Amino acid sequence: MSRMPCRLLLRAIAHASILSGSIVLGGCATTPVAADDADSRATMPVVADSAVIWVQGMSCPKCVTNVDLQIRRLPGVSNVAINMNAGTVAVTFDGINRPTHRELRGAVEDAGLSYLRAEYAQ
Amino acid sequence: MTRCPHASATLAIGLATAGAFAQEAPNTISATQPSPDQWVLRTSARAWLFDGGAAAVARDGFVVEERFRLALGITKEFAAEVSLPLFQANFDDPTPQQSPFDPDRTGIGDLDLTFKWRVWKEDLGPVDTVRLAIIAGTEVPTATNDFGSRSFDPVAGAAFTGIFGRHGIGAALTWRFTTDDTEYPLFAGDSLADVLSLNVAHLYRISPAVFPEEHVGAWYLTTELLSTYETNGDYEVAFTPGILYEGPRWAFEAGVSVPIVRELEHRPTSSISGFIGLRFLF
Repeated sequence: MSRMPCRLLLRAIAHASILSGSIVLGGCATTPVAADDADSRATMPVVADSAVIWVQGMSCPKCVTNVDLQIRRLPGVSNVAINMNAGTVAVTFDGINRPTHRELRGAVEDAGLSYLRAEYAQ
Repeated sequence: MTRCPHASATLAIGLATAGAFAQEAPNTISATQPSPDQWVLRTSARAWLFDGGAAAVARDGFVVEERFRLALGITKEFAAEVSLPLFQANFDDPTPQQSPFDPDRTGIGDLDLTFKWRVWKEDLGPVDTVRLAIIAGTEVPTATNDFGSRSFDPVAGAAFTGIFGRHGIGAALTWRFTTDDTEYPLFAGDSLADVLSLNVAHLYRISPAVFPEEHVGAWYLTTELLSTYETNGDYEVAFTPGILYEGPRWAFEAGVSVPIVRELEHRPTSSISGFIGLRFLF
């Protein structure tokens, strides 16, 4: 009976921490993409040169390597930088072939982590 | 397999594979695993000292186990692991009443084949997470020189992992359906009885207190209680402190295990064991 309020509280705390992270990143030249927008074009390739993906569940260094390896398998990924404490995965793209939004999300989820949203640089 | 108490817990599994990861304690199965198409190789060495005792089977000596585990992520929620131990045993003055066997022997143990399916996950923050996995597998009778049973012994259970900031907790409950015994039992679990293993673990991240922006490794203090209960009434509980370094692509673990409660018949008395191990992600 009490599980739902507890879960909502935990999610609220998680989102609050993400929001605080967004403020820190506010100075970056990024264009936030709402989750709904990303879903609507999930099968389209990423056109931006970089992205910041917000992730939950990076509980240890090897877990982080999991997501690093999964994302680097995608086409056009030239660099991956992970900040465990902030829960962010910064991805840089290069070349013509690019992963789709769905592939990016799938790579995070294949690593056993939770995908929250992504912001793409113009 | 030769069901060492601490590996009996790890039994077939041990994905230390266990894999992958999330602050996996050395001996307690975790609810984590490699992601698809990724491998985790884990190798460990463990030594038990036996101090004889008054029992008819009492012997002084030691046993060394070198175990190799290979885990593969099949889907994001499903992983498989094989585990194979090598043993060397050296005992002084085997009592004449015992069945004659070479007190200095080397051999392969039973191979463990295990599947792990993560059935529940709730990520609570950038680092925090709780996960539950179910486990199924079997021991395959590959043992030589009496370092295992002569049968397929199915294993089933569940593992829980929770990470909350610098603290990690884990629990694993497994049941082994024993279909044949070990001719020369040494450890808890080496009997014809079915075996319930209940292991609990706590990990504390010593360093870093807060993960920096760079992708760095972390040091943990680990504390485990490894319990083995046989349906014939025998049991053992061991206190197992240790240390774990987990880097981005490899990990190191070491510790000791001391039985604090035990009632085991027809086996020599082990006083203490120590272990070291390495894990590689590729």
